Amino acid sequence: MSVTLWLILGVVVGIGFFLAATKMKLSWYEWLLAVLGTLLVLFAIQNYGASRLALESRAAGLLLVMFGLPGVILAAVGFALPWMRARKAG
Amino acid sequence: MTESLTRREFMKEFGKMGAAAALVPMVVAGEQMSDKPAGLQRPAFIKEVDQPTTEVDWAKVERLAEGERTVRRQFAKYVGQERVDKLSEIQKANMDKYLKEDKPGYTLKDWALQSASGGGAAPRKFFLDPESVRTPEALGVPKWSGTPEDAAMIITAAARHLGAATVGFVELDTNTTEKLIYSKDPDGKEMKILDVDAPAEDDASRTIPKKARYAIVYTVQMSEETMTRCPTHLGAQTTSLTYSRSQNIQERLQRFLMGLGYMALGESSTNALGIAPALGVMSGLGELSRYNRLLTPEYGSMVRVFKMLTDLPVAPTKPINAGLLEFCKNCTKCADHCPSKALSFEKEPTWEVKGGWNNAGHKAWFEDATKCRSYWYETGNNCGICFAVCPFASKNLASFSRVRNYLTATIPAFDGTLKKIDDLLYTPYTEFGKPQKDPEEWWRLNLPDYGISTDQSVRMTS
Ligand code: B12
Ligand code: SF4
Ligand code: SF4
Repeated sequence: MSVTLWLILGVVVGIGFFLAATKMKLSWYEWLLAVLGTLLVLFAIQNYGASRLALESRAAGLLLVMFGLPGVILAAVGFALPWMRARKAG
Repeated sequence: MTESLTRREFMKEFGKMGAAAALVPMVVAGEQMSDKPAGLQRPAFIKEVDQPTTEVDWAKVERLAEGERTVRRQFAKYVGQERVDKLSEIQKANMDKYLKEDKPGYTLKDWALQSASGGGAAPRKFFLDPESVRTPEALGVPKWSGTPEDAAMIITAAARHLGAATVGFVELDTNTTEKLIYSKDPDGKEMKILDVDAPAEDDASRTIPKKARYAIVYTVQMSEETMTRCPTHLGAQTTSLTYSRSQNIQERLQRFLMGLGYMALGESSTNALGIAPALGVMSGLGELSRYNRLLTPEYGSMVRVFKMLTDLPVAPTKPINAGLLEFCKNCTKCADHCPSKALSFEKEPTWEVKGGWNNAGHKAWFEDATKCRSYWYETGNNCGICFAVCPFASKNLASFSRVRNYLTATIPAFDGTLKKIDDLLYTPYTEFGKPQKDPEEWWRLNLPDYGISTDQSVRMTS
């Protein structure tokens, strides 16, 4: 089940990047932001799950926010900028 | 994968997958496989060094008579009998009050568990009667033989299987590490090191044959979930349980070594034979820290340390530098939280001892052990807050702790920030002198065997 969860996450991330690569035009720095952001989100998810297992729910929540929030922002900027450009052009 | 995974198992698997992902950059950053046996491998960022991070002036180190010097044996000598009597009265009154008012951590069930934890263990013996062991001689075969590296490998595997967490080895040298063996054991018996063939014991002394040159040093895990409930009976209970577990490990390891045809000289009573944290440092199990005890990269502070001597030649393991002592310079968390203010706040460790209970000749953050021991009368047991609050006491499941260990070993500039993050994550509301976690809550938790995590492979930091 847990393996399945990481598998699902992998597939979602994979599809996201595949779509970005084929359907959108990302500049080098947008790629950088998207990859960095995604890595941070995955790191946050691992820390959240593992801290819950370690019975440290406060640490779990804080680590999720500490790494997840900047991750989401970076990834969002990385993917949103080219998407908005595409919409404007379209 | 089985279909009926419990929530715990699920979360564990979930955690491991992510930890594996988080490992990738560190492999790139220099982790490597070495030709050492798996049981002795460590990530490359934990540096093996020729000299320990603790400075030692071996000429000044003298073998210590434990029973005559330490605070656990000579408390009255240091503070006076009158003070001991006064403290004993306080203890009696506190214990009576706490039990009757059902104070969390001191309820009847906590008392019961505490006294249960100390039971069921093999008695400690300096050496076992050879008649009671199946030796190669009795089996009519030659002794086990192999290289010192093979010996290190099989002893590590056996000790781990019998319950040890990490294992290291020191080859005793008369002018240096031999001085870490007590000159007198806790019971006052003289510890002679003589050129004889077999160990011996009489009413006044124990004899260690000079050829028993190899010290096997091993850690045994304590439970963070209990230690974070210190200072209470529930909290102190992990100390008792680890001691009783270690007694069984000692006896079984003695049987193993004798079964190979070699000597196995253990602790004749709790904590006898030698200075455990010092041997821990010299065998590279960890570094000496501000709380003046061993701090390990694998389990942080959550270990007790034990030792045994053998004549089976074993390849020594080197001291390490994992950035831990350096970290302590920028972290005073244990000292800040110590209810008796026994620990040092100095930035650097010093050569000057605090009292007769310390042994000169090494640079340390020496503690005022009389303050610590006095406080235990108030708690009616022991304490251990210093161990519980240490940033390295976390369970290491979250990959952030792996990053923390990596940064600690490689970029000391981050030490202060890492300490602040730890404060925020684990102890933002911890009240001075109070348990970090609610003792009553402990009874409702779903914890692994002995309250420790044994799925961590040898010498891995996550
Ligand atoms: C006596 C003793 C105490 C006394 C105080 C020490 C004293 N000096 O009187 C009291 C009873 C107060 C005490 C308290 C505690 N103790 Co105590 N204690 C011991 C004991 C039995 C003897 C240590 C000794 O001989 N010290 C006397 C001299 C040597 O002390 P020192 O000069 O200050 O040196 C210390 C360090 O600098 C280092 N050291 C000494 N020489 C050298 C040389 C070199 C080269 C190096 C690198 C290091 C080094 O080791 C010494 C440890 O005390 C050991 C078991 C053992 N056999 O080692 C456990 C032991 C050290 N204690 C331990 C623990 C856990 C505690 C407590 C947390 C209580 C608890 N819940 O269990 C507290 C912590 C207090 C603190 N932070 O200061 C553990 C530490 C585990 C670890 N990770 O290192 C030990 C090893 C017991 C065990 N079997 O695991 N302890
Ligand atoms: S055991 Fe408690 S009193 Fe003793 S040094 Fe540690 S925190 Fe202080
Ligand atoms: S709490 Fe801080 S200063 Fe104390 S031993 Fe741990 S890392 Fe070192």
